[in-house]
Amino acid sequence: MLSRRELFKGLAMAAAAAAAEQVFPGVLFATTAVPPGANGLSWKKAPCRFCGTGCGLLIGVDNGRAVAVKGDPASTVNRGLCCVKGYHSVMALYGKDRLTHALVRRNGQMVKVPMQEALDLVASKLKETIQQSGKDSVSIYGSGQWTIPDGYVASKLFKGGIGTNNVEANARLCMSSAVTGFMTSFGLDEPMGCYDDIDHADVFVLWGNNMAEMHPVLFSRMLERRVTNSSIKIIDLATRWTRTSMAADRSILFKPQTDLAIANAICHELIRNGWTNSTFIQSHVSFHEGRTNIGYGTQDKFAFTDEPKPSTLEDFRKRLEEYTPENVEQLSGVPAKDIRYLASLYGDPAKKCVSFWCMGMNQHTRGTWIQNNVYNIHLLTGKISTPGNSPFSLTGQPSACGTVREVGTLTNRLPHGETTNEQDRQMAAEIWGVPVANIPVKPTYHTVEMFRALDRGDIKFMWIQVTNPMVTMPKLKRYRDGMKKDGRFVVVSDVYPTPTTDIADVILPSAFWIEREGIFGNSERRTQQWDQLVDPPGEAMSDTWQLIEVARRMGHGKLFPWSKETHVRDIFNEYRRFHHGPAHEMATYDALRANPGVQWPCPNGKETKWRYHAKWDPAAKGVSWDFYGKPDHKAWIWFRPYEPAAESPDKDFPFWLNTGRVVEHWHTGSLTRRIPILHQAVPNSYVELNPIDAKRIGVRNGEGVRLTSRRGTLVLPAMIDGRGRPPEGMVFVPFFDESLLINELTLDAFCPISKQPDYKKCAVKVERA
Amino acid sequence: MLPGEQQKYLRIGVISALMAVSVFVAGRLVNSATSEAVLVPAKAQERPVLPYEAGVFTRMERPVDFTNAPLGKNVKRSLASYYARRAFDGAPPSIPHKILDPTSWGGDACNSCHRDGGYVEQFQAWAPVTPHPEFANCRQCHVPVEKKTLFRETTFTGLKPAAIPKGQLPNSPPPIPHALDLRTNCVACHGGAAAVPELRSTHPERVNCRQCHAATNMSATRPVIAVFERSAPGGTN
Amino acid sequence: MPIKSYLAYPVPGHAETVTQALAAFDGCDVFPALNQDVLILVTDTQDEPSESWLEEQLALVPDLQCLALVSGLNPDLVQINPTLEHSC
Repeated sequence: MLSRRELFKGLAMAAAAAAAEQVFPGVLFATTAVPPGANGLSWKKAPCRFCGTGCGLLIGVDNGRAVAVKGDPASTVNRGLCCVKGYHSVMALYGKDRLTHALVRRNGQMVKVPMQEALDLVASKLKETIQQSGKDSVSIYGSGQWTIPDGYVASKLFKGGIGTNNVEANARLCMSSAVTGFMTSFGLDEPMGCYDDIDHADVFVLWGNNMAEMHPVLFSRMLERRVTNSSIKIIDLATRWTRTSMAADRSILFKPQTDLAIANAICHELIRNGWTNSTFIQSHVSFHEGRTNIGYGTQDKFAFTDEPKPSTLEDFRKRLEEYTPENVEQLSGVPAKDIRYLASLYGDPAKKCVSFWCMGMNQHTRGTWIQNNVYNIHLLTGKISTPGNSPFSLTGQPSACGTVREVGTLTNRLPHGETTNEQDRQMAAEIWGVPVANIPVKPTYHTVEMFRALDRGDIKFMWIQVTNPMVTMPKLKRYRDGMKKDGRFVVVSDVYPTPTTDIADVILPSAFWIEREGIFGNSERRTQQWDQLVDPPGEAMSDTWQLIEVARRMGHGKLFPWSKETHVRDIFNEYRRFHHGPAHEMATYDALRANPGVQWPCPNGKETKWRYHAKWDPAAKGVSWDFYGKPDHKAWIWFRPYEPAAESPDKDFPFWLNTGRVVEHWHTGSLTRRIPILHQAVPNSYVELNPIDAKRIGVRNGEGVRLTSRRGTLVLPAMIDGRGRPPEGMVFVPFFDESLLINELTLDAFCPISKQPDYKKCAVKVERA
Repeated sequence: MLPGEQQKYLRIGVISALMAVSVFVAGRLVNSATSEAVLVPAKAQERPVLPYEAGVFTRMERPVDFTNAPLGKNVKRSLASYYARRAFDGAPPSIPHKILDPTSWGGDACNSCHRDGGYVEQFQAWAPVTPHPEFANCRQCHVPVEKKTLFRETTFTGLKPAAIPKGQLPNSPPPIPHALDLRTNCVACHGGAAAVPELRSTHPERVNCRQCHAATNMSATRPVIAVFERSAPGGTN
Repeated sequence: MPIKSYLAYPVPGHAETVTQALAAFDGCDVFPALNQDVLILVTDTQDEPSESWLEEQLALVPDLQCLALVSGLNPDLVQINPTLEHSC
């Protein structure tokens, strides 16, 4: 029954409908009124906040809140499919313990203060520290989750304004071996190929890469490719049995660190059988050697400089002589016939080959070398820079490429090139509008050394943004104790309380992901923009704007003349100038807004899918390959030998400790653990054991296991025959759990060239707890 | 019926209002028609994108058995449990049962039951059918529930499922209220023995669902740049 | 006080935002056209002050290019046969 007023409303509605019919014959109206808030649902694009795949998402926003996610069918990356983290990513905005106000430590207690007051304090502390202890006593530590404007502003303030190279990012722990691999072999960073290679390849070799869990969307694309053609082969080459091994056509397990030797044995076989592409080698490859016995960097102030020497194919062949499949079988545990099988796949001229890798090859005390060795395979066979032929380094963070590597937020880098290069400094000085003398020449500290310098007292001020080093640093205790020392001032910008905010002197609340406008860059050179879709909570402010506010208070305001409304666009337009030219031209801001993502080089608005080949890359000269990153226009093959890990199992510590991730959680879990479905799927960390080892020490599933290394000890529940199975003599622990900190046990040894630590190999003792 | 007098006044009132409005609106239209339509450089504009169509006609390899769909007590799934497994309307549901092989990544382990459905003795239930059997890495999106507790409280409220809409006219086919991404194969959820009774179609045997049911939930809105556009009559240009 | 109906013309392409903005007001029912860029707005207010407040607010809605009044009825001044009222 209708009320009287409702009846009249019906009449009023009918009158309006009749009036509309006169103007628009045939007009139809909804029969029920739109409820407030409902149907206001709009779907707006944003790149995923988690790994470096860079999936396009569509975020459902209703009444100012993000309420749903779906995959963006227009994104060429994921074509409408996400992973469980992406689908639930917006739930990470709404944890009840979001940091919404600034906090300052006073007499040991964290006290809520107005944001402006906290920014005043940060600026005055920065100025005071510089006055008392010099420019190189202050530092900033960001991450591959920094948006491009965040990283650009940080670099401009510290390198151009303050004048220190104390700028680093957690991508040093994640991607720097990939960078030095690209630089040593090709002279320019980032992959030559793109994800479309998946649609063309016949063979996929996964080098220490559990893609089913870590890059599930690309893994699914690969499986789809295999469905279309049963001759397509996926080979999982790993140190532990995983979901990827199960889905692969062939699983080959090797002993940790011996991937160096396996790659060399494949090259040995390629040359011995004449499976190399000699015309390609002749015109496009030059041979080199570097220093050997290069150390592990476990001592403070460790320094290393490589000394490249020219070499020849014949020298290279001779160096490989000892890497026969039989010899390498002894070392690696991989049967010689499997090594020959791999060589036959890479060596078959009719097969297109993609190699994928990520942390297995990057977090490696010879990280640069193993990248060189895998490039060697692709260069000997000429399987590179053409559709389906691609050595492909995958990325773990959404903008490790876009921000850390392209903007250059590392101690030795500038937005274009190296600090040690006069021309690169000139360019930065000109675009930034600072005297060139402001920009320091000499790189200072890479990440591990930066935390050591803080411990020693050489650095007294550190500003940490979007990262959680008190969970991720190896040999954690030393660096935590160092940060807690008197006379160290630590500022942390984050969205949730973490073990890192626990030791902070100032906590600044950050606007998260879609709460601000931003830009990321993914693994395949794709730049991805998003608009602000919802408001940040409380006084939360984007990391970019926090930096600008502090810069203005320090008197560097004229470097940052932008308004709050347009600063992201303005910053990008300034930054774009660094990459002008066919080798790295970036799309316009409008083009980025209109597309899920655009790949660089993008000269004249056209994306370059494959670099270094004249057919696709306008920067390449001639009719075929042109490796223009190197002065000789050739790709460099390096002979890099096998050298053992920094710490191997022995009598006292007889197990390898391997660490990593699970599909549900991302990095330190500060976001994913606040998403109920992800937390409930994997509520805590655990230790994976081989069933034989478990039996030997007498533990069953779920029972406590004590792991002890030379650096620390930890008790975790056992996981036997779960989603992964390490071989005998190895244990595996995910690192996402802040209450079960496995990095108390890991070792801070790193690749002397890339300075990236090895989280995959150290020695532990395993006991029943 | 209204008393004659008042009914008449009401009619007169409505009609005069209508006339006033038509004069007003017509005037506006005439005005704008006479003003020159010009081509102006376009600003990026938010435009809706239609839902995508892939999979509209995909069917299970073996046809779903529509005739044996159980009703009443024999139905294990309810609308409430269906929505409870999803963080928001359209989210991938969690896995409610024990996983037979924890090392499995999905593939045949899941698809043996969930591709075509059918009765599973072990769970004494009909297996729900996936609308996207072409994806094999199931545990990329679908995860089990190991524990019910939270790490930290959340204030997230997900998109609520839209009410099942009525047709625009009496007896006309209702529009599709939900987003269609990865769910373009309608009959997977709307037909067959495992389908939630409230969501079952009365005619699952018909193939071309979107012949009659319009998708009203747009795929997205995007800034689209045209080089030039015609200035809209009466628009802000 | 009165119940009024309007035809609302949003700036082309902004029907959704206008619908939302209008539906958010207390006492406003919005019926978007399914095949044209036009909306029906029915307003119902308690008293004169809230009626004039609402009118002011409606004038401020962004992206609304024209709001045409169609009818205005005051239920308190019009009598309806009670049997009709109950049969609806």
